[in-house]
This record gives sequence, structure tokens and C-alpha cells, in this order.
Amino acid sequence: MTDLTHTPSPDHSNTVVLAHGGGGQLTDQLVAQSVLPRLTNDVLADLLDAAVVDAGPGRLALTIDGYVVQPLEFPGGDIGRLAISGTVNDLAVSGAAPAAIALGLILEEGLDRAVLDRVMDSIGRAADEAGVRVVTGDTKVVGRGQADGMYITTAGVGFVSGEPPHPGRVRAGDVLILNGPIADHGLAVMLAREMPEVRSVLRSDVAPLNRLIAKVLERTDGVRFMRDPTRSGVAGVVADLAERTGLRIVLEQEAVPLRPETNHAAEMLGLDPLEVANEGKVIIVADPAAAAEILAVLRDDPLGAGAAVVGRVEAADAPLAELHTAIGGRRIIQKPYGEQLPRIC
Amino acid sequence: MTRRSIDMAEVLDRLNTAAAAIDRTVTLMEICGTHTVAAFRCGLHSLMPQNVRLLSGPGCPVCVTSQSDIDMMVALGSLEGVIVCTYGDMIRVPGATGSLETARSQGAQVRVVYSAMDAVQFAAEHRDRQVVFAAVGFETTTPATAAAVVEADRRKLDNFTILTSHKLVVPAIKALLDGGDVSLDGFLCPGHVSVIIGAEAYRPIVHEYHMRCVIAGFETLGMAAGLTRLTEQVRDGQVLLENMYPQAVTSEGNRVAQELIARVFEPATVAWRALGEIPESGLVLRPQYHQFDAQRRFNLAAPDSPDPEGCLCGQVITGRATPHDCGLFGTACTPIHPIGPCMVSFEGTCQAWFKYRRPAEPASAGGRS
Amino acid sequence: MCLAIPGQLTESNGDEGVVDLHGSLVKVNTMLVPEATVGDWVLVHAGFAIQRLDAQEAEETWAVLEDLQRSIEAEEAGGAGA
Repeated sequence: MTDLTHTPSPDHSNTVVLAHGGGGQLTDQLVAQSVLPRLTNDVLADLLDAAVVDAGPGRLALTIDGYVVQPLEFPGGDIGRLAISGTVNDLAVSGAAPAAIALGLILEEGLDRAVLDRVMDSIGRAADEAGVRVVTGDTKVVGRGQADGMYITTAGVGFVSGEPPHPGRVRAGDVLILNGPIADHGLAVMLAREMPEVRSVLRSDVAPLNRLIAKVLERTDGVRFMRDPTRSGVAGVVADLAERTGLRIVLEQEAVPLRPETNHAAEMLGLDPLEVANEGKVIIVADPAAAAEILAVLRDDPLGAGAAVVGRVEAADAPLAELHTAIGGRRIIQKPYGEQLPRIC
Repeated sequence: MTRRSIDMAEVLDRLNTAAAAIDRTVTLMEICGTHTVAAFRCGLHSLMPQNVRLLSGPGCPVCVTSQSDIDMMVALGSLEGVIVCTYGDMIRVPGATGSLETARSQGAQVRVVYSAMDAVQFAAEHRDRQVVFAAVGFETTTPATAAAVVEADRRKLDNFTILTSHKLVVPAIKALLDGGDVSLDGFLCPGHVSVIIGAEAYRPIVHEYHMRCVIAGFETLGMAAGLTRLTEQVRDGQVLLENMYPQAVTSEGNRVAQELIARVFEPATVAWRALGEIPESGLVLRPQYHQFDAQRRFNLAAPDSPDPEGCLCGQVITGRATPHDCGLFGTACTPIHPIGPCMVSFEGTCQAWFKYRRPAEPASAGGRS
Repeated sequence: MCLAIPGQLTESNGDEGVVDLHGSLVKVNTMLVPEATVGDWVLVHAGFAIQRLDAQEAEETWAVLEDLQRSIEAEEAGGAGA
């Protein structure tokens, strides 16, 4: 057990030790060395107990997410990039412009400082990409064997002007649009964790989508509702949408973008790509009259390169989510039951 | 017919044409859990002609692993210094005292592996622990276990054992037909089991039971073609053994794999979940490999574990009932609260019906326009 | 549980090999396919190559069905099958 009254052992410069979470000098040092340089902004630099930022226009949107992904670093991203993108995207699909992020770190004693620094770099870069600031945070350290390296929690605030997207606005005749190929994140992480010896071309799609979504909302009319298909994948969102609206949601399998190597990885693991997590994707439910315009805006952006109309909403007596399969058959889509892919986000 | 490339539209057209010429219901059975899931996922069930029924048989190895085998795995995982290595499919199947998953959440040492060799490697790297590998599966998977035992023997590992629950497909088919209460017109035989055992392994089924057997792989076109050939055979009054997966399945199978299995295992009468004992339908370790038998090493007696009340899994996997006939289906028994193995296993018939069929869909055929 | 995927053997060293499964390189045990050489298509299951595939047809597996006429035996086992 670390004796906090003694001078810390010399290796605290390259390893996280318990004292780094003590709120004293070592915490200050950790923040100064690993956190601040990568998240430069005036509000954070003050390091007060709370961040005070300007409000609005519009109403406040608030979201929070915990990130426990294993491994911490995976092809295409890491827990830091995930922590920013996930929370920013939750705000964005709710029609909010993300304004500020609060960052909570729980670090495991023994974590290599170089890993921490890389993750913090990633957080800084993702925040810049999103144009959002990390304005406040907290760091705790727990004993060896806890926290699996690190856990991150991010809370985000944003502001919504006007009518936010909402399932109540969805109508029969609406279309479902996806901004690109599915299942890359979940499978990249799954392979990296379960089969690290497999050399794979798969990469996570993790990315903040707020700028892309803002463009769609500014330049087009007719977005009814949006969702990001994270855990439970596209299947989860579509099944949920059917329940909430009471309508029939039909997904066309041939229209859903899916990279061949991702599909093959899914087959290897016996998984349905529709049920796999995405971290750089949004499903937009829209007025069909606006579809062409929405696609144009999406495809004009690297994060929307593979955008396509993948389904539609139909009138129904009872809620139903259905897949029209590539061979012209049908089967229902249900929300997956859980832990197929643990520790994916 | 000449050798040429075929596409799905053509295959389905042939299926419908054949079915239309038959003036009764044709009942076909696929006997592999992977076929069950694949057929549903790609929507094939919804495209079957009105008079062609596709049933699922006892081909989900997880579903037919006896409750007492599960209970032994759970008991072992809870022993000090023992770690149970298992394929992921097994982890949620309930025994009388819970599943490996619930046992793990209560502190049992359970580890998911993708290959039997991973378990051997783990044992080699952790000589202070006893590693037990849950050896489940049909003939596709058995060679891997046999190779693992041979490797453990070569490395002289004294901390590696297996709990054998391997089963054989052909004896299961015979037992099903001997049972006599299902009227079937043909079997869609599992492609990858057939890779190991060879197409000729089904010859006794065709000759002694006068039953059609068509071997198919797992991609959609192969399955559809297999079902089409079975239906065409019915129309034409033929009873044949056909191999629709010739690029992988030869008439004699993989000899190296068969010899390896025979070196390590011998057939025995074993208990199947919900089906009872079937003669010569399972595998046990040969005497020279008895030191790798977990049941012997840990002195385990197979507990007497009755199946849950009201559960119709046994009838479902033999085609005598559909999931809809079971009073527990969809109400007391769902994937979140499963009672029987057919609902737990992602290759189980009940889970597949629950996940992929419309609630109001009739039990026989799809035939939607 | 019967999932087996075709891929191409890219490396082989005794019983150890590497298979390219359309973008993922996986280590497999090749003891069950002693006749397989680099460049062959094999079927991979649970860490083992379980069969050597007919190369041309392995490619076609993904898209197309091969000839329906190929049967093990054309012997009719009886005309009263229906």
C-alpha cells in the first residue's frame, strides 16, 4: 500500500500511482503534465471547482456516458476519442450544438503514463475536431487490478434552438438514411480484444458527427428524428423506433452499406452486422421529399461518404421492425438481448 | 442440365415449381443449429412455398448438452484452483444450479476460448491451475478437441482435462427416425460436419430408412439449392443422397481428422438433453487418455437433473412440436428469461423463432407473396 | 457452432499456418490438412483448417452455386418416394 506521507517513488513520472488521485501536489502535477497541455482553453486552465460558460441560444441539452472499452487503444481510435465522440454525438442527434464537456477520469494504479498521454492527446484532437471544449474534469486513482487501465466518464451540455428531433414527429412514408458503412467499430474492437493475434484491416469508425449533423439541419428541412446506432447497432435503433412510433419500420438489407471485410469478420465471429456497435454513424429519419438534399449534404463530407437511404416507415396496426433480405425474403428485427459484445464502448 | 452458374432467383423458381407439382405438405428438416440461424437470418423461411415445411432438428450441440453436463461444468468452475475453458456458446445455458455465466458472476473461474488449443496453451502457461476444457460440439469441432488432447499428452501436462460432451450426428438422425413420431420427407445435412465425416456417412440413412439426404453449406444459395433438390426429389419420386457442397465435402470426408478422433475417442451411449440416452451417439476418451478425463480426475458423479417442467425442447428439436406449441414460449420463456436450452442458445430453434418470426406467423411455411 | 470460413493459406510452417480471411490474417493449425500448401484455399473452424477446398470453387462459394447435377450416386432407391 502506498504510504502517502513519504516522498513518492521515482517512477511516478512514467506510471500512475495512487497519490496521483489524492488531490494534492501529485494530482496537480499529473493535470499539469498530462491534461492541460492537450486541452488548452481558458476555462479549464483556471482549474476551479466548476466551469462557468455562456449559455444558449435555446434550451439546455445534457447527456452523460461512461466508457469502459477494452482494449484502451484499438485500430482507428481509443477510449479518449470514444469518450468525446460518443457524448458529442448524443447531443448532436438530439438537435443540440455541443458547447462544453466535463471529463471524469478513473485511472488504475500502474497505468503507463505514456498511455495516459496518448489518450489525452486523442481527447484533445477529438475535441478540436468537434469544436467543443473540455472545460472541467476530475481525476481519481484506484488500486492495481481495478479500472482495467482506465475508465472515463464524459458529460456534455449543448443548446437546442427550435423544435428538436423527436420520434413523435415520425410519419408513415418517411425514409431512413445512414451516413456510411456499419459494424466497423464493434468488430474492430472485438477482434483487437478477443483475437489480438489476428492482423486485421478493420478500423473503428469513431468520430464526432456534430458538424456533419449541423450542416444537415442548417441546409435542409425535414429531419424528423435521429439516433446514433451504438450498442445494439442498427437493429437496436430500428426495433426501438418501431416500438416508440407504433409503426412498421422496414430496412432493405441490400441498401445498408457494409464493407466486405467487415461482413467477413462478422461471419467469422457468428455475428449479425446489424447488431454490432457503431461510433461514427447516425440514422436520420426524414421527410422523403428532403432525402435527396440530405444525401447530398452528407456525401459532400468525408464522414458521410457512403450515405444511403436504407429503409422506410410504413403505416401499421402494430409496431414491427422488419428486414427485407438480400434474397427477397423477410424476417423481423429485434433489439439484441445484450452482452454479445461486452466492453465495446 | 449442364454445368453452369446458377443464381438465387432461378433456384427459388425451381423450388416453387417443384412444390406446386406436389399435392401435399412436404416436411423437411435441417439438423444443424447454424443452418437454423442462417435460414432465418437471410429470410429463407419466408420464401418457402406454402406446402413446404422446414423444421429444425437436434443439431444445436449446445441445446442437446445434458443438464447434468452443464451442472458438472459449473461445479468444476467453482472449485478452488480450477478454471473452466469453454466456447462462448455454452456460457448462458442453464443447468439446475445456474449457468456458467451466473457462476462466473459469483466468482467461478470461467474463460471463453475460440479454440481448444487456447485451453491447452493456457494450461501450459498456468501450471498452478487445473484447466478443464468443456468439449462440446458435433463432428466439425471434435477434431480440434482430439488435437488438443494429443498436444496436452505430448507436452505432458498434468493440469489439463476435458469434460467430454461431443455428440455424433448420424446416430442422432437414426434415433430421431427410430422414434417414429415425425413424418419427414428429407434431411438437409450439415455441410461442415459432412466435411469431416464425408457424404457416404449418410448412406445408411438413405438405405435403411429410405430417407432423402442432401448436404448443403451455409451460404444462402447453398441452403436454398439443398431445399430445392429435396423438394424436386419428392416430386420426382426419388430418394437420393446428394452433395450440394462438393468443394468442401468429399465422399469419404477428412481421413486425417477421422483418424485423429478415433485415436483419442470411442463411441458410447450418452444422454442427450430432452432426448434421453441414444446408443453410440457420443464420444468418450479411450483408456490411454483417461488421465485427461475431468470427470475421473475430479471424481464427479453425473447429477440427476430433470428437465424444467413444461419445457418442450425435446419435442421441438425432434420436430414433434414447434415452439408455438409450447406454453412457455414467448411468455415465461424468452431470450432474457430462458427456461430451456432451445431459447438460450443463439442457435436454438426457440430463440430463432422468437427473434426472426412475426408473432402471428403460422407454424407451417411462409409463402408470402 | 459449425461456422467455418474459407480463406487462403498465406504461410505454412509445420502444423502452423496463417490464413487470409478476406482482410483478417488468422493463425490456424494445419495438422488436419497435411496436403495443403501456400496459396490453397482452406476452410477454417475454431482455429483449425479442416479441409482443403477446390480453389476455383472456393471463390464461387461466396456468390454462386455449383452444378446441381453432381450427385454422389444417381441410383434410385425406389419410385414410391412421394
